[in-house]
Amino acid sequence: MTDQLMIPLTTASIAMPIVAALVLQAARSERAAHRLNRVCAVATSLVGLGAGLAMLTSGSHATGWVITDTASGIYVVVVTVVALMSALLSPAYLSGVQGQFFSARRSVHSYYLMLYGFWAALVAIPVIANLGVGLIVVEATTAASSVLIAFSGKPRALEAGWKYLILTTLGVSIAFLGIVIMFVASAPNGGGISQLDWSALPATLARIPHDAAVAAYALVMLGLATKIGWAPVHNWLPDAHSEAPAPISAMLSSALLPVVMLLAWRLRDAASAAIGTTAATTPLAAFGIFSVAVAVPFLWQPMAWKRLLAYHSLEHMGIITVGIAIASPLALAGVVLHFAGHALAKALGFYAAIPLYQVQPDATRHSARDVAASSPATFAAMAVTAFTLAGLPPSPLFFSELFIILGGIESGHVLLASALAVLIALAFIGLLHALLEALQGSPSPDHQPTATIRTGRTAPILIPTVVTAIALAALTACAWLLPASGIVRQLAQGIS
Amino acid sequence: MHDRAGVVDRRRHHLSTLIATASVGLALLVVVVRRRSVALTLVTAQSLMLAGVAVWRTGGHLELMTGAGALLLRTVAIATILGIGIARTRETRPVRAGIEPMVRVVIALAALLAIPPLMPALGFGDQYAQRGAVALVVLGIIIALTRRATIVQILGIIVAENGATLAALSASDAVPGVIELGVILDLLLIAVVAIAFHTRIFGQFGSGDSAQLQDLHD
Repeated sequence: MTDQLMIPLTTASIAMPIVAALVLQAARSERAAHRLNRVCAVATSLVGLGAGLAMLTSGSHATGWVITDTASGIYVVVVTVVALMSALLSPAYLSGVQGQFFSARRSVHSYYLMLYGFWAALVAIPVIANLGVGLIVVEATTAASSVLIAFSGKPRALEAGWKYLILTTLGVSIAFLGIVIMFVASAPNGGGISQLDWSALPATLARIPHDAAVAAYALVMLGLATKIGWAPVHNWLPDAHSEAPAPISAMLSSALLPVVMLLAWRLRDAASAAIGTTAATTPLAAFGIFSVAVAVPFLWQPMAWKRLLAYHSLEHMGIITVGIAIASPLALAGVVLHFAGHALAKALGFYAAIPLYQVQPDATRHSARDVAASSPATFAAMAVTAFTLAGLPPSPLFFSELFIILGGIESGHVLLASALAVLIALAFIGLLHALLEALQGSPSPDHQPTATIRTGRTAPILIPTVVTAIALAALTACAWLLPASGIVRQLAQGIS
Repeated sequence: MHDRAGVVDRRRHHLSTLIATASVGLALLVVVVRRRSVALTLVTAQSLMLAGVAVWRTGGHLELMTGAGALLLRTVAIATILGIGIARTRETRPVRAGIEPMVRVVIALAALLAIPPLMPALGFGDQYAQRGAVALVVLGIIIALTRRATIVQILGIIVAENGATLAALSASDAVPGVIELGVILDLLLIAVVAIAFHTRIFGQFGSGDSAQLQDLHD
């Protein structure tokens, strides 16, 4: 596809959610807003999927403010799928909740305004050709998503949203200092914004004194780390993911974290030549392995379902980061597979919380119990999520973790790969224990009685469960082809 | 010709030193003061000073005025938004920080003595401006993390952002207007969202004290 077609298509994929957000404000009632949302979600996702697939098949283009390549294609497709499912499941969530952050009259409209604004920013980040502008959009996601996290207006949601707002904004401030250093050091008398284009960044960093380049790189990476939720700057993550509305938790975990990580990935590739591969890669490896290590003890504890999933986000972002740090073709195949598989399974897990909280209201604060008897459809969704995240074969995450570990050993990162293998094994054992208790165990005496959910109310989770299970099986099938594919070859050549 | 350029450079260096010192001094005061309105006044003075320098640096060149004008507008807008927020949420008594003022000062001074000098030369012409910029980011983080009043935590973010602004001002015209404008718009957006949170927190608990938000932990 030519630039003349690619740029309008990419622009449309960002503009469509914004248009949808505005159109939804015209809905006369909540019911009309829900109906309109379904139409808008499908139309928006068709454009997004079209753009993403075009990026995947038409090679690398960098024109003006847009970069379209294999990486952006993969990310746009996955973000679009997750955002579509979140938008379609939002009416089910909103039917059981009265949002108090906004005025009651416009609560649903405001929810959709923020959701589609968030969607637009998530699609924009992978295709923006400039690090500085990318960071500005990352900051914009904070504004939209923090309000969504606090949507219910409950004290715990306010706490989670506030913590997220303050910590991630401070992080992005640190990153901006790094950006200013890049400008000041590379062109003291001023320079164009194109200095920070991904394609120009290697030359920009090469003009900077080595120590200044390392400092700027470290500051930007630290800023991104707070937004990705890498340990030890992850404090906001479990709170935000557990307190946000379930469809928003899915977007935070399956889309936002990996999309911001793509910026870190591109930055690593851009900076490697100027500051050295070791200096560029070590922070990623350290953040990655430390994140997995910090997550493991929490995965051994019985805790509320969404909070458990949040700690899984920490673990799985860590695994993906280690794969990016290793950067061998096999490890990068693992990264792609893990990103997609995690996104689908994790999103389904969060959606399962919608019927779960209807059947067990106290599951918002305690581990879920006896779900299989009270709501088989919810149990099925939770089981698909749990077994996928645990990396049990034939889960695509089994293959992706294997690829990352083998890729590490093959490329000489034996210590890193071994540490990752041990931590994944520990997480697996902990998860299995928590799972058996959460999904099959009998209710504890202090828990509220569990209601049996009516079949009609589980319908919204049945379809995503079946679709996700099929998509995960397809990903597993792709695992056999991925390491030798053109996608991985292009990623291995660098994505800056 | 060279003499004149030298005079301009020296004048610029003196101004940079003065601005960096005054900015860090104002931020240190924010670490200590108890009243939200006083803290807002101090941060607004700091932001106005930086915006004033940005306007002066343009030398009347219209194309450079965009960034400087936006900076000035940002300062006024944020001061207004936060001022209205404070006026609408009167505390019956000042929100106490969890850490005593003297301890906060000791933490801030220790961080200032340790972190900025550890930074390598970052390519700034003026080493003093570099240390000032890093010091502001460090102080902004300390303010946000050691104070409990939600309004003061927002001010911590603005102090940290002012660090990046000071860095940008240390080399004339170095940062393109698009980035400056984007950062300014972002900060405005964050300020609006933050004040919405502050109002909700105040409505829920009767005080803008973030210590009341401590229910989530493992």
